[in-house]
Amino acid sequence: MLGPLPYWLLGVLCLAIVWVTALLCAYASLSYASGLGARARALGATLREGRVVRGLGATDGADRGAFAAHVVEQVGRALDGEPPALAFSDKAYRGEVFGGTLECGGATLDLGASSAVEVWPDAARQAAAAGVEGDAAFDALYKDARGAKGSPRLVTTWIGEGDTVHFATDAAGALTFLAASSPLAFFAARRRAHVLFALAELGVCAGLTALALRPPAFGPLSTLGGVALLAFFLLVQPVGVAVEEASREPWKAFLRGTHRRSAPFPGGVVPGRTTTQVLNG
Amino acid sequence: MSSLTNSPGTSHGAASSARVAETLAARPSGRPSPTTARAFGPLKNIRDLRQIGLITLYVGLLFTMYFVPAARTLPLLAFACWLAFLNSVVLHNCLHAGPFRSAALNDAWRMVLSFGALYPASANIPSHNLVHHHFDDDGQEDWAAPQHVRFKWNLLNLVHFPNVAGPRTFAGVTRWSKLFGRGEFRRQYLREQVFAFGLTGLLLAFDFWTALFFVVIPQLYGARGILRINLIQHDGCDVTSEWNHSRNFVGRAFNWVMCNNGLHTIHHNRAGLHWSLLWDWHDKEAVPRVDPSLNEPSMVAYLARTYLFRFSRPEPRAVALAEANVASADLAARDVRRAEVEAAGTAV
Repeated sequence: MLGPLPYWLLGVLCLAIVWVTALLCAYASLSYASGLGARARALGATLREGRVVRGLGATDGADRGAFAAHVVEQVGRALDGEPPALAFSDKAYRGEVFGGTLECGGATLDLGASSAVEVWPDAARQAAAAGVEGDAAFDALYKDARGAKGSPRLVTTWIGEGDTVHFATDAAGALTFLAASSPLAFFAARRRAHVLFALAELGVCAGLTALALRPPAFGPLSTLGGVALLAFFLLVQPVGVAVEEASREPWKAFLRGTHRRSAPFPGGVVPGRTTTQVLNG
Repeated sequence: MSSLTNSPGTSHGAASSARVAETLAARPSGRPSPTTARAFGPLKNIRDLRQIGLITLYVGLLFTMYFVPAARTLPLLAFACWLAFLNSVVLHNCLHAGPFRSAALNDAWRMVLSFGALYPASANIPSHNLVHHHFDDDGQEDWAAPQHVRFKWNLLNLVHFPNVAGPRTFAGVTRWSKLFGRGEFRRQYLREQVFAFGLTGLLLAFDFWTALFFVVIPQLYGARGILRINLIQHDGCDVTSEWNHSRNFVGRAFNWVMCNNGLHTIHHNRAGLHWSLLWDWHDKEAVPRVDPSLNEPSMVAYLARTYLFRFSRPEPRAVALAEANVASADLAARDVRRAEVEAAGTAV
């Protein structure tokens, strides 16, 4: 026990560490997929598809009555480099239903306002809403973006008249869930991604293990397998986290984003800085 | 060359000597004796010799095992893993307050610590000092929040935690480092990466298996261990409370070796205090306000009880009630403390 450790024993220990990690990442992913499946089943039991015929909220930006909105509170901060750029981080997510009328299966449903409804925005519409339109809008945000507190903004994605929605109501008929795209399709796609990740990473781990075990032990091929398994060990963890983060439900999916100005500030004058600050750098 | 260590702001670092003296008068007998900071050579505080000694021993042991076949034994490998964990503890302390008076020496010291942990030490500035200390990333959860693991079998949570906290941490550090005014941080971070990964890469290139078994295993053990501590010290606590957000491990021998890192509540709230002062402040401010169940006499007993001898994760308890009827301490609000650390961290 006090003598030098045999390398084969240490090799087995390393393989055990890699395999425990690979199995835990796979198990976590499959557990996540299972959770998505349970959520899909629970939601699917009460889910209906309909169309917004009237929204009681103010105009949704397309001159239609707004039925609901999804809001992301973001903080914009300046990035280093030219041309100037802003990076946004998400602070909070919330949904708001203003009320109105939905058409569903030939019947109409009048629904009241509520801020306790889970609202899933349309991804493309949200991406468009998160854009910074033109340098003037950019400069207005940039003004406070160099400070630690950053420049706050709201990204609002509307659901308005004419939009197709997927929704659920409680026993009393009050809206509990509203989505601008099919939640069941979302859950199915994300479950597939998790299962694929789990199978693929276990397959890669098995292949690299076989390579590392090629005789002669610790020979060139075996060493190549060892190098690859070390890389696998370091990479499988961030990939697993990326798959999980991509599965966040749309109401709380990371929006974040980076926006770059079309050109450097004219004359190098940064918005919100006084002449003295500019002269002093 | 300036260097960033995110030393404390005034409100949470103002350990006036008068208050410390007052504290000492009430110090229970048998506690490590106090607190007067005395410089020693290039060190700001003579007590940091303990940290220097631990790291010298650790790095010396890694190279001894790498170069001397007779040293590649189980006891020495296990000892190296234990020292690797202490390397991460020392790294944590030094990223709150650099031990040397010289910025260049602190810079070099962080590179050594980065090699020991196989990650750039300065990652602690955003991930630990800014986000973890305030349990908040702009309204989002801490990158190392216990909620990132959700297995029913609690032991799996402990084993798996670094797999999910590590990637979130480094992704967060990367996002933070790109922000305006972080140029000096990026250069410091890059120097540490080049040194840590470069030296480890050289050792791997020269003798892959020996480096993997006797250098990389201890390095990763230490780095993953310090990530795991986040789960151990906060799972089941109330991170929204001011004093019951952390679990303390209050064994004396444990804290001697761990440079008082078992006293986690007071460290969170007064991050600028030198580690050698923590006992006094723990007794004075944390003990009256912390639920007694969060002061664990032994980490080993806690780990066994929580992860080995039970299957499920313990339900959180209403620990914050303990601080409800105690007068509030002279402590700046959490957002003020965070703003001070943020300002210090970006003062390039």
